[in-house]
Amino acid sequence: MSWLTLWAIVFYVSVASFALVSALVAIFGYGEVRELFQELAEKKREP
Amino acid sequence: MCFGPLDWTITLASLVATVWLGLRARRLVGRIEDYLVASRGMGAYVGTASLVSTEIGIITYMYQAQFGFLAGFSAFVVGLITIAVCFAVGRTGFVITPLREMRVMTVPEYLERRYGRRVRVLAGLMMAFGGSLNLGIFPIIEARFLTITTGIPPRFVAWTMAVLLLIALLYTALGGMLSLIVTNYLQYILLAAGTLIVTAACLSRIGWSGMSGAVLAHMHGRGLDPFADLGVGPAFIFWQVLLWVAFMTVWQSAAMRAFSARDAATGRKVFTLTSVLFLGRAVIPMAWGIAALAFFFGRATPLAATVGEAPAVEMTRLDAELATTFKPLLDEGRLETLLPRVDRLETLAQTERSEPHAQRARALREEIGMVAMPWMVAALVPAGWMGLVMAGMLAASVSTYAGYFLGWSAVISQDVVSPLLGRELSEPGKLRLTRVTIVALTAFIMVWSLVYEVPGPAYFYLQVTANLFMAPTLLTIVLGLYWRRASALGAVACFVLGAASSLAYLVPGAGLSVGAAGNLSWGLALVGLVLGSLLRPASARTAAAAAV
Repeated sequence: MSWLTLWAIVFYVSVASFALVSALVAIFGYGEVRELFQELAEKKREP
Repeated sequence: MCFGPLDWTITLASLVATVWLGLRARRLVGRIEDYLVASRGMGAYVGTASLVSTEIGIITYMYQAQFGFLAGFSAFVVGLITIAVCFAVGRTGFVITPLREMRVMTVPEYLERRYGRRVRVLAGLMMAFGGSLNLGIFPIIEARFLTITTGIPPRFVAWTMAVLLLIALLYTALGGMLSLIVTNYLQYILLAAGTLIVTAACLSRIGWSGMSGAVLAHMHGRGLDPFADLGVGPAFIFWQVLLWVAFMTVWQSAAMRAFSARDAATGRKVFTLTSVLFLGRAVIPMAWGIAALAFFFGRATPLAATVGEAPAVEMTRLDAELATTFKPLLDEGRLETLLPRVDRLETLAQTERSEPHAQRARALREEIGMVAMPWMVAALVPAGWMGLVMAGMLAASVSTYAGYFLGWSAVISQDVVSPLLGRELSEPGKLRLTRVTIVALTAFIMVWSLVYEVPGPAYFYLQVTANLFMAPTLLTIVLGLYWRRASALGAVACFVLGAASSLAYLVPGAGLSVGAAGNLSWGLALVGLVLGSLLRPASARTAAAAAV
């Protein structure tokens, strides 16, 4: 395999995986932020 | 350039939303643990967003693009090293898991348990020094991006950067890690969208074939093989592996995400997910730099040869021409005029074996490389989309400042000031001290960015200033965890020798290559630690207290 082919694979894999993991972070991260804030709000209300 | 009212509206709305979210989180902060490590309640996905948005700023895009512009596809090797190291740390929990389980809030905190207070303060000082030097060039480089892409006149750029810093300062100082987590989530989405828009523009207008064609045609046989290329090469690659292991484990802003995680398994998952994004963090902007090379060489007209002119005469004439025309042409973005001239000067300097001219051509190419990507982005991305890109870039930038402010101020307040005071501060006292430190750090980087000129590629400067403390920190932690004889004397020698050899790269005229300085730093730090520990080993009780 030539260097150019290797770098083409690296580039396209990095773009595709960046897009995919970013989508996962956007979808699942929202729920995690809500959960953390609810926990902290409850903790703050405790005497 | 097409940065219109719609673009401004999108950009400003994103900043307002960030501040609003950051300030809302503030009301939940009570204790220093809420402030510095978000009560250790962070989930894996939001932790990934937080870590990646902190470690991607406009500065990252700028220096990675410059590196791609200068080194071509060879630069991609850094992306491969990053994903391999980050994935390995994520899977094994190397260093991050033991530190997370010891419930420390900063990395030097461990060093006090293992080596005593003096080592903690020394490590804290080194980290604060190296971290501030590192952060200190961010505003001036980012300002260049903003001037080029938005058309803000250069005289207002310092004010623009000051406003950005103040935004980051405002919500970080008030809300700490909690504000960071919630704002980083929004910022990550914006920066990911901006990154993909610019990549799509590069691929649709230049394409992979254009990029590879430019490397083959204009890099004089370089740009493909990282083991053979000047400036990259085996020494650089070996040092990068060491540095990235340190970065993933003891870099304060990265380590804080592991400490903030819900549990050790979540911390490891954050690093595993991050490894994929860190591949893109390196490779994608490097590809933008290569696309910029293709874009401007594609627009350039070849230099007409002067009949009968000897190469040495032509070289001197070109050099004299560039001395007067380079700066104005660079400021106008006429890189298609500059590139063939600099390229020709480099070729002539090689054939005439003139090292001063070769050095000058390299320096000019580095300067072009620093601004080529933003000029290309301004030319390629259409109005409306540009607002989204800018929102993403500013989000990246503000989140980086916020994350680094918190990281370095935590070290300064917790590991330097607080131990030197010699007494335990109250919870409100610790919070106040950290907030004051954040303000002082902001003032420092504003001044430093105005007075300091970066030697060589920005990528190298940033890596060396980080290496200054990362090599000794990682070595003292790893040997502290796994080698019972490691002692305070060894740790002190490790920090002093490791930092001194890194600093040698920054000294003008020292002539040390970046790879040599980096490897020397690791070698001397290890020698210092081992010899110092053999001369005066740690007591069995101290070693057992903080070993795995």
